[in-house]
Amino acid sequence: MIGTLLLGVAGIMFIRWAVCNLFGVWGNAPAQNPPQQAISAPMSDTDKEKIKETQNFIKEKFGDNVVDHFREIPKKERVAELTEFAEELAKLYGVELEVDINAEHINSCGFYNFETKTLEFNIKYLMFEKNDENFAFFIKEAINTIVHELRHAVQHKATKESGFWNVDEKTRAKWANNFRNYISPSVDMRGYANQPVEADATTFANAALEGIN
Amino acid sequence: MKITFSEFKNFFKKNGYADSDIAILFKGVKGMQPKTKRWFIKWLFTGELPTEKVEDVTVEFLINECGYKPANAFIIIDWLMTEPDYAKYILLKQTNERVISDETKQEMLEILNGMGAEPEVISVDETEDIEE
Repeated sequence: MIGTLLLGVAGIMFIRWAVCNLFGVWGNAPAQNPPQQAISAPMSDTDKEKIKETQNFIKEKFGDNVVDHFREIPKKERVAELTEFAEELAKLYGVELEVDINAEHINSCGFYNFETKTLEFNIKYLMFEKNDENFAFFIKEAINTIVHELRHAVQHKATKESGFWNVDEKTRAKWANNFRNYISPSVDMRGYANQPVEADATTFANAALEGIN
Repeated sequence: MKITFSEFKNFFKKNGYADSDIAILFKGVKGMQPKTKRWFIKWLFTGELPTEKVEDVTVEFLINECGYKPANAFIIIDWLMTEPDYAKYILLKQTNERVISDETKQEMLEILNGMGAEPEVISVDETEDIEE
């Protein structure tokens, strides 16, 4: 655990270099309220039901004020609670996967590994001090990332199983084609954000976190 | 000034880009505003970076202070010009470098064939070019 926490600190130092250089320029205000393009992918009736279920589940797990909840618990418990949250949300979504919170991929907040069916999540988001000016942002971002990545797991399963989450055939084909021609953020950041599977996951996660404090 | 796809491909292949990413990048650059395209082509031929700030950042800042590859930094600057709120929103998130394996891509191809759906291929005609 100590090794993991040390890596978490190193991770914080990295995130301060990369993203916080941009925080230093713009503050975190532009990331607080998603603009129209980040909430505009079409959501089906099933998606809307699942969004509502996710909102209720977040409140059930963490209370009416998520940020305050995490401020009051030790860092070790933050890790345990978010792991449990991710595992239970995966069950709610009907996706079978393992959750692995680690510090291995220091320059990523989290990702769904298609091959191992694992949701890997970076511990660094949970290691900020409770009075850090960006604490609220990173806690909400941690939950947003979990929901976003689980949505990718749903997309993956929906391409393989016709009828999963009532995803129509046109969307299944669109997602399958996108996974085949995936645009990496290290190549074309704009193309990455606008591609179907990312625009969909961004919209879904933002809708699920709407109204969460 | 213009650059052909062939010249573009040679440059980025030497810089370690995969063929599939080169095609994606070419399309991303082709979709830029004329001003950014002009900066990009100049950089490609001379190595010179523009000094103009867009939303308080320069291409050089994005490369040196944020770790973006140069071509991506130009795309980001162009994005900040055209959709500043959206660009900033995404850039402030710690985006994930997701790698889709060949096995998953093959799996998707089999699914598409099973559905009778047309597999899409991102490709660029060798005769295409980018003009400022």
